[in-house]
Amino acid sequence: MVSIKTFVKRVPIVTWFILLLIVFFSFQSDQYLTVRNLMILLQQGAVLLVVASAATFVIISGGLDLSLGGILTASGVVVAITLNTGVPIVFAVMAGAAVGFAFGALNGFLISYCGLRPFIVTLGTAGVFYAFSLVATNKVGIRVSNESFIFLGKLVNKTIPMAAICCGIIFLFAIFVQNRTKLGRYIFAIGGNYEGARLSGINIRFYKWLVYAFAGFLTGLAAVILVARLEVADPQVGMQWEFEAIAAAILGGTSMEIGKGDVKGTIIGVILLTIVRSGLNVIRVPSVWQSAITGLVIIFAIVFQVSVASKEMKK
Amino acid sequence: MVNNYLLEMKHISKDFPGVKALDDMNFNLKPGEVHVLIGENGAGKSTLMKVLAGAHAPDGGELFVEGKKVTRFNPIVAQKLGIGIIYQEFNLVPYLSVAENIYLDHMPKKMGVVIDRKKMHMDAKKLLDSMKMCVDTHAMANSIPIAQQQMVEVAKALTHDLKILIMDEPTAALSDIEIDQLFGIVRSLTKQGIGVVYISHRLQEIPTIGDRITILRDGKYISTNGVNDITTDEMVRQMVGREVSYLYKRDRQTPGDTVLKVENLCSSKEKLNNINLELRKGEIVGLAGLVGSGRTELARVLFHVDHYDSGEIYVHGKVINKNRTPYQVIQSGLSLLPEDRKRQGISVILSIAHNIVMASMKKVQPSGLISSKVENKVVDKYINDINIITPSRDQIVKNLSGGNQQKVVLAKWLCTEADIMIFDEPTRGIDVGAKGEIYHLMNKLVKEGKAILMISSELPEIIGMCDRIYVMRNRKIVAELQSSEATQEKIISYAIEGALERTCENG
Repeated sequence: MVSIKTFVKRVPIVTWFILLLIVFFSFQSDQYLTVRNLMILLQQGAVLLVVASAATFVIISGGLDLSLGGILTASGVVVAITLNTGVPIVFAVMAGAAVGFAFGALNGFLISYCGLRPFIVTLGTAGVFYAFSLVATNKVGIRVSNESFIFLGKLVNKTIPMAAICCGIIFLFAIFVQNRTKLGRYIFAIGGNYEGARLSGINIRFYKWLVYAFAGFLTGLAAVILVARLEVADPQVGMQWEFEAIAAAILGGTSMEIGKGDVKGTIIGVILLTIVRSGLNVIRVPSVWQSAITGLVIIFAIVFQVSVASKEMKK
Repeated sequence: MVNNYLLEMKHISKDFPGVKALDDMNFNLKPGEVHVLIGENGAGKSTLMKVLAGAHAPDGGELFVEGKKVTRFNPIVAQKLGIGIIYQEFNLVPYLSVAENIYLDHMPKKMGVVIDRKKMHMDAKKLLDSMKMCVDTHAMANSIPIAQQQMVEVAKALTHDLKILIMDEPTAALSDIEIDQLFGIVRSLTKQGIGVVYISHRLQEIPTIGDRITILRDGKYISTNGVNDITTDEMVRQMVGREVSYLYKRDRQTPGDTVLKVENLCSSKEKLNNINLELRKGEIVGLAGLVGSGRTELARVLFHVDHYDSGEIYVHGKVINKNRTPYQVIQSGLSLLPEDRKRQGISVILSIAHNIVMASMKKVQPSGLISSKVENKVVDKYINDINIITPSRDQIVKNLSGGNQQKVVLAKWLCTEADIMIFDEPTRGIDVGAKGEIYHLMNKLVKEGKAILMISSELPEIIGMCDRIYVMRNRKIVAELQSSEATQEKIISYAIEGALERTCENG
C-alpha cells in the first residue's frame, strides 16, 4: 500500500497549483465549474497539448525548437489552401502533416547533419516559416468552409469536443512513440549522454534529425485541428506558441539540462496554462494585460518547479 | 585538548536516509604524515572526506583541527582552517589558463581592480617550478595531460595556507611513471609539515607513499596501523571482511583462430603510427603503456569511433571498411567498454534496464516495437548472470556504486553478443570486491570463446590477467611480451623513452 504521504509526494507540485487556481476561479464566477466551460477549456487546450508534446520530444533529446509556432502557422496555411482547391479532406490532412515533417526535417538537417546550434537554427527558420505563410496567404487569413472539415474542430451539440478527441488521439500516439519505439528510447539516450549513445552504436545523427522531423510532423497534425477549430488559417496565428509549448513541457517535469522527461507529464503543463488563460477572462483582466500575466505565471511556476526538482536531486 | 594532531575526528557519525554512512568514526592526522584511507566503495571514505571539506555536517561526534573544535561546517570555513581537497573528478575550468586556474579565487590585482596577469603568471611559474613541474602557465587547462592537470590542482591548493591536504584517488588516472612524480610532490609537501589524507584503491602503492593506514568498512572504523605493520592480504581481508582468494585467476588455454587482426594501421588525426596486432579466440591480450601513449586512441579507432587513414582491420578474417560506423562494427561482433564510465559508458539518468539494452535494440526487439516483457527477460538474465546488486531493474544507474555501474556497462556489451571485446580500464575506480568479480567474468568469457583486448594502467592487473601484452609508446606498439616473460620492470622499460636501448621486436 502506498501511504498518503508518498502519494502526495509523487503528485507533481504543479497539480496543487492547478487545483488552487480552479478553486479560486470558481469562486469568481459560478459559470466556471460547468460541463460546458470544461468542454470549452478542453477544446482550447487540445492543440497546445500536441504542440507541447512535440516540444517535449525535442527537449528530451537535448535540443530546442523555437520554430514550432512557425511550423504550426505554415502547415495551417497549407492545409487551408489544399482544402480550398476542393480535394478530399484526407489530402489536406496529409499535406499539413507533410509540410510539418518537411520543415521539421529542415531544422533537423541543419542541426544534426550541419552541426549548427538548435537555438540559432530554429530561431532563424521560424522567420522563414512565417514569411512563407505571409507570402502564401498574401497577408490575410484564408477562410475554410468545408463543413465536414470544420467538424473536426467543433464542439458538437455543445458537449462533444471534437478537437480535444482528435488531439487526444495524437497525444496517445506520441506516448506510444515515446514508450514503444526506438526513436522514443534513443532520444533519452542522446539527451542524457550523447557520447555514450554514440559509443553504443546508436545512429545519433539520424535520430537527432528524426526527432525534429517528428516534432514537425506532430505540429503539422496540430495545425489541421487548429484550422478546423478557428475556421481560418491566419498567417501569424503561431506567435508565442513555441513559448507556451516549451513552458508546458517543463512544467510537466521535462528538464532542459539533461535528457529527463516524460511526454505524459506535459499534459499537466498544458492544463495549467489553459486554466490560467481562461481564468483571466473570468476575472475580466483586460486583454492587453493577459499575455503579461500569463508570462509571469509561467515564469513563477517554472522557477518553483525547478527549485523543487533540484532539491530532490540533492537528496 | 592538548596533543599534536593536525586533525582529530572523535566518534563522528553521519546518516543518510536508509544508510549509516559514517558510524562512530575515529581518525587522526599528524603533521608531516601521509595517512592512507582505504575501504571498498560505500565504506564511507567520501563521506568522511566531505565532512572534512565542510560539505556535510556530521550528525554526531566531534571534529578538532589543530586542537580547536570545529563547530561550523561549510566549505569556506574548511578552507580557512587550511584544509585543501583534490577530488577524483577535477574541478579545473577547462577554458582558462593554468595560471588563472591556480589563482582562480584570489587573482593578484593591480590597484585593487585590474588583474595583474604578469604577476599571476610569474607566481604560478615559480610555484610550479618549486614542484619541479614544467607546464606552460598560459596553456588552457583542458589542453594539458590529466597528470599535469592534477599537479595544477595541487598547486591551486598550495596557494592557500595549506595545512591538511586530502587527495581522493589521485593516482586513478595516472600511469606508473606519473605516479612517481606525484609521490615526489607529496613527499615535498609532508617535509613542510603538511598532513596528507590519501584515499586509494591501489593497495600496492600504499607502502611506498603512506605512513599510517586506516581501514573502513560499511561506514565503520576497522583499524589503524603503520603501513609496514600490515600485509596486503590483511588489508584486503579487513576491507572486504572475508577472505578473498586473491584477485587474478586465469584458466589458461591454447588460443584459437585469429579473430581480430590489425595491419599497418595509421591515423594522422590520432597520431597512431603503423600499428600491427592480433587477437585470437579465447585469449586476453593487454595493451600497456603510459597515459597518452595511444592506447585509448587505438581502441577508439578499432571501434571506428575515430578515423584512420591507412592500414587494414580484419574481423574474423574479413576486412572492415574504414568508413564504417560504430553501429556497423557492433554488428560484426566488436564491442568497446570505454575508459570513462560516466561520460561514455552509461547514461547515469537512465534505468539499468534501458542501459543494458541500449546497444542491442535490434537484437532484443527485432520487430522494431519495444515489448517490455521481452526486454525485462533479457535484462533480468544479465542482472543475475553478472550479479548486479540492485533492488530493481528500473533503478536509475546514478544510484549504483562504481563497481555495479561498471557491471551495467559490461552487461550492455554482453547483450550485443559481441565476441571481440575491447576493455579500456575495466576496473578503474572500483573496489577490490567488484574488481575480483570482473576478473572472474573476464576469465569466464574467454573460456566461452570470446577474445578480450584489455587496456590497463595497473601493471599487476595486466600481468595477472593477460596471455600476451603489447606495450605502446609514443603512439606505436614497441614490444610484444608473453605473460610468462612479462614483469613490471620490463613493461615499464619499454613504455618509457630511452629507459632501455634495445631494438624493438614489433612495429
